[in-house]
Amino acid sequence: MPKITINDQQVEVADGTTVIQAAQQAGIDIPHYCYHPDLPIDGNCRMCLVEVEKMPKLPPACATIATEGMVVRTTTEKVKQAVRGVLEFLLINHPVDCPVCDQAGECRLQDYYMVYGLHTSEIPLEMKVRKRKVVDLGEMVVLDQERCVLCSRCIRFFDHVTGTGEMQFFGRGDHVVIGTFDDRPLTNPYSGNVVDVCPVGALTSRDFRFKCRVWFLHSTDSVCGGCSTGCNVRIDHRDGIVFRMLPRRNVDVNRSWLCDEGRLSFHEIAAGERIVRPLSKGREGMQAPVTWDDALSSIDSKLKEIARVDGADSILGFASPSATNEALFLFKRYMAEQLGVNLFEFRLDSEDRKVTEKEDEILRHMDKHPNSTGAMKLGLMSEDLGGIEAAISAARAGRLKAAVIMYFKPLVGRPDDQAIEARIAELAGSLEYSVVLASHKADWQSAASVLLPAATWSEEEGTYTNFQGRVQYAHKANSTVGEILPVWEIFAKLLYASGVKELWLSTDDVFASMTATVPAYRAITRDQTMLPGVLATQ
Amino acid sequence: MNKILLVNIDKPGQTSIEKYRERGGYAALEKTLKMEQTAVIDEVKASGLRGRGGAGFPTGMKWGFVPRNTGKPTYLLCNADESEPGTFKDRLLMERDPHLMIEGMAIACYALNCHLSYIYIRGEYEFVARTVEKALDEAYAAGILGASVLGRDFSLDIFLHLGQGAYICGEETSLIESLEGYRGYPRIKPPFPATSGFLASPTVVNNVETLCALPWIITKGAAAHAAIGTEKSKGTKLFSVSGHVNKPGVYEVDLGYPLLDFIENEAGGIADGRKLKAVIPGGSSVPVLSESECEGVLLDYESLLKAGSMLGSGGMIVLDDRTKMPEVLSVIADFYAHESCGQCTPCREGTGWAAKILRNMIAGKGKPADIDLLLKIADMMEGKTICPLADADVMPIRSFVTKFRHEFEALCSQGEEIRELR
Amino acid sequence: MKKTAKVVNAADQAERESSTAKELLSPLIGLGQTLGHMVDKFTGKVNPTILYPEERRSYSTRHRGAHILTARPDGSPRCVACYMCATACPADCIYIEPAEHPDPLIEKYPTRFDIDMLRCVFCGFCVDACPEEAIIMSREMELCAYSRKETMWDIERLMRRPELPEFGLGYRPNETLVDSMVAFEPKVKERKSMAGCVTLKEDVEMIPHLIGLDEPKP
Repeated sequence: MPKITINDQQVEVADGTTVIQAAQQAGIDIPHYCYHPDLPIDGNCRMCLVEVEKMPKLPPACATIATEGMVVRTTTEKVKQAVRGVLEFLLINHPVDCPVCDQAGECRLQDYYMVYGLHTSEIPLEMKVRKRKVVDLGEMVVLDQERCVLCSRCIRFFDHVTGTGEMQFFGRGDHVVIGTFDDRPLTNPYSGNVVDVCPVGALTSRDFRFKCRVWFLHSTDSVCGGCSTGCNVRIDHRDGIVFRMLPRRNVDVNRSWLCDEGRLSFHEIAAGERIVRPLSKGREGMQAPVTWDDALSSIDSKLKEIARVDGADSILGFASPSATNEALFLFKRYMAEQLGVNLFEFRLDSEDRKVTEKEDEILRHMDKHPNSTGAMKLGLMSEDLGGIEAAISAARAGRLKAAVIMYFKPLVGRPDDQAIEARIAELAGSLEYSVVLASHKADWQSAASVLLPAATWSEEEGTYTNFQGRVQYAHKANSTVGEILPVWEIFAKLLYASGVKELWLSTDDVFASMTATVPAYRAITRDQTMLPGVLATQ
Repeated sequence: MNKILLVNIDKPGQTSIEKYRERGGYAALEKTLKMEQTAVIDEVKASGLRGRGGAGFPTGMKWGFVPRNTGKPTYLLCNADESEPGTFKDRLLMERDPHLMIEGMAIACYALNCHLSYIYIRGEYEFVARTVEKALDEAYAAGILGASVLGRDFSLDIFLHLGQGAYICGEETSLIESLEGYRGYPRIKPPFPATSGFLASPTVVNNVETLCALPWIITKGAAAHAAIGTEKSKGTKLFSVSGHVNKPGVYEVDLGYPLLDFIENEAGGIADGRKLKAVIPGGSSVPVLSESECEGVLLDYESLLKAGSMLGSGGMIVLDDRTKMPEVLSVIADFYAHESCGQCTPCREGTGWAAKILRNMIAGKGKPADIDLLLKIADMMEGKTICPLADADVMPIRSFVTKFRHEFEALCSQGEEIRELR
Repeated sequence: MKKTAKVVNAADQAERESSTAKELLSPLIGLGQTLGHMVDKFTGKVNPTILYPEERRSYSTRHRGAHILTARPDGSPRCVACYMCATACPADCIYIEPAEHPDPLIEKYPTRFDIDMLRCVFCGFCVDACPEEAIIMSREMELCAYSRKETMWDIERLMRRPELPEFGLGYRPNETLVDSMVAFEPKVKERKSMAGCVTLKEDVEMIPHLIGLDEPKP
């Protein structure tokens, strides 16, 4: 454990730590382009030059291993001069087209120029090296070779993370450009990550292109709802509209990466029409708008009546593996405590098996729901029933009379989604009484006795349990519109309508109840569910 | 004048193994194979031989850094990527006496316990490569290379690898990178090649001239080699002279020979009876010496360093009084801008920028402020890159501009006048 | 020698410098000023009242009137939809929708550029923020409309300014536009008179009362 001094500040770091990492631990920011915590060291940008005692030249902080007694200075005049020089070099052939560049506002060139540069350009415009602009690199990425600082982060990403090596340098000297061979499009399922690793505007997102200037966006930390990996993401949104999703670094889950499917999964939120108010079937069998209070009290009395007449075993609780732990907890609490229901299911397909099945070696899992593990840990899976097929036949046979069904269309589409939706439709259609919670309108919902408008992924807050059993908290990015309510709140209200005097006013309250009663989540605190999350007990 | 390297260079048929052996070739290898491996290293250490590629690092010490018994093979790479402008000494050795290099390599390989060695030859030297390849074939046929070197329990394979014509691949780490099949980018040191080089194994990269000196040292003994030259610069050195001299070519002289005498006696004096203006003593990447600075300078590592230049690779460029220094610098700067690999920011952008400014100046479009801008660019580049290519551009820029500033100023004010007229 | 700080008080200074003669004279000086103006008025040298709208004052060339979107030589908007004006706008009255330009050297251009003239406070921040000299201001300040909808000026309205010749260019970064042009060249010769100052009568231009807004003048 070497002890080193950075700017008169003592830090003790682990063996093999580089100076730039040690400085980060000490809260000192060293400017850099090519260094990335999840990529191998390259040391080509020369921005992180620091002064180290007893070293004749200024070594790069990213490639210098901290050794015992090392004295590092990052703010001396010599270092500032060097960094300023490097920045000036980076900008001489840069087109400075910030007005049309999507990176403007989160560009390292801009940031460091304001701190270290502030020089006037000494190169006339006609002397600049011109390179290609707006190079199409497939569905995710647009390349601008002029803006590139040639830090090789994208190249190293494809070489070392995906191992596919699509990108490379071409040319020599100040004519070096990055690109793919023959401008072939990037078809890699992780290609969107190079947009994030690019510290400047050379690689920009095709999807986010010209959609919004980044300084208008608000960021919310969340967890991707695309599959059971539970990648940590940041939702960037403005005025209730989600504009993009970016990965958040979590070494234990997704490092700094996010798959393209997950990255674009937010489009599913805005696609299709929303259900905006509760609907209930009247005498004529037509769904008509009702108030929340009426809807909930009628559900409660009807379900209680069925439980009394036909027995609690004729009611099924069909949960969604896309809902939060908090929502599922209150759902189970209502069903089990108030109605005495024993039959619970969440498997549309075979999620319990798929949840840990890998789709590739990097991030993706076969199960396209964020909280299948959470549903299992809450015991929402009955072995007696064994999946939706059995539930349908039970309903057909008249053994099942009623069900509360949550269904959210997966954010990441699969080819068999339609078939799965048909099964849900079949289940809802073959029941005497069905309560359906859904976010988006679909034809099959006409079979529901009561249809409740639920919030979708970005409007929900709460915890998700990923394939590892890691409990991670997702914040709410945008508010619900109309009379839509988050699922946890629907069941909190339903419990209240049912006569339970316990009040859950926020997800924190629900979380506290859950950790107090569910063994898998015992002794977990809310703070622990923040980055990097906490593993639930087996 | 002692001859170590060019003893048999002009003798007919020297490229064939028969003639080479007739003239005492491969005797040194025979002798080496009877010695202890460490004894060979000690012999080279004692001889005071220094790397002839440019840096002048003691060869024996370099070999001493190689760890033994690491479980990984050790590699010897022969750096024949001679691309420094003004340097053509290795070409002569390989073209006229290829077996000398092979013998030197075999000696070095034995000392380093290396069984696989590569010659990385410059892409433009294809005709030289053919000669070397023929010599290698002969050596294999004669049992000098292969599973059993000269019938002893030591195997050695030497492969020839033709580069693709990049100056940067003469830098040892980018040579290794290129040999491994990657883009010729220099690596960050540490780790040094001695511990982790070619295929992450201990690697020694030696220049052709260095290796060619080994047979003589083994035959005549370290003491004989140490007796030649000055206190710290032992042995002889090849100088490839070009420019405004009567007899340009490759000359072997003892280290410590006076520079002006060398030009006068060996290179035949300045052509057309002109006056000497400046000398670039060690290839285009070293600082230029003006005529007055050449006075009393000896051709050895220390004396040239004291005079403000370097021995470098021994590629001496002699310039007479007609020479326009800004034009020379422009050519040099263009070379480095073209050959910068583009990995580190300061070198990639700085060499190109400096070359453009100089080209502008030559075209009469320069501004007086450009002269200081050149020096500023030099400051911004120096010592901030992975490999010394940026420094190799900085040294000529700084020395030319400071030593011949009046010429640059005249050129720029001329440009200013032209602009005003327009 | 130690210097003592002295507070300079204008009132103190006036008292120190005043004298009886000055005090007696000052009303007379003031009266002289008034008489001078009266004479000028009677002789017609200065006429502070003009017959608006037949007569108009000439405004400063820094006058911040209705905006103009400048054009490239080919007539397309110079704007690159960078949102700098929308970002700087304190009234949040600029709405832009960008699109991909076929020329990679331009890359981005606005398909929509709306200014809500009722929200606009005419602060000129958009002009200051613009990196392309794409938005400048005119000296037009008579912005009347029959409906609210008409006060939403779209990209067409902002670029095509038939009334511009009568008013001329207002607040802009450069006296003569660099690389950009307005759809109509100003006809009025610009005068360097300060806004708010009394303008000499011969400097006031007579303009026709009605301008055909729909008939652009060549």
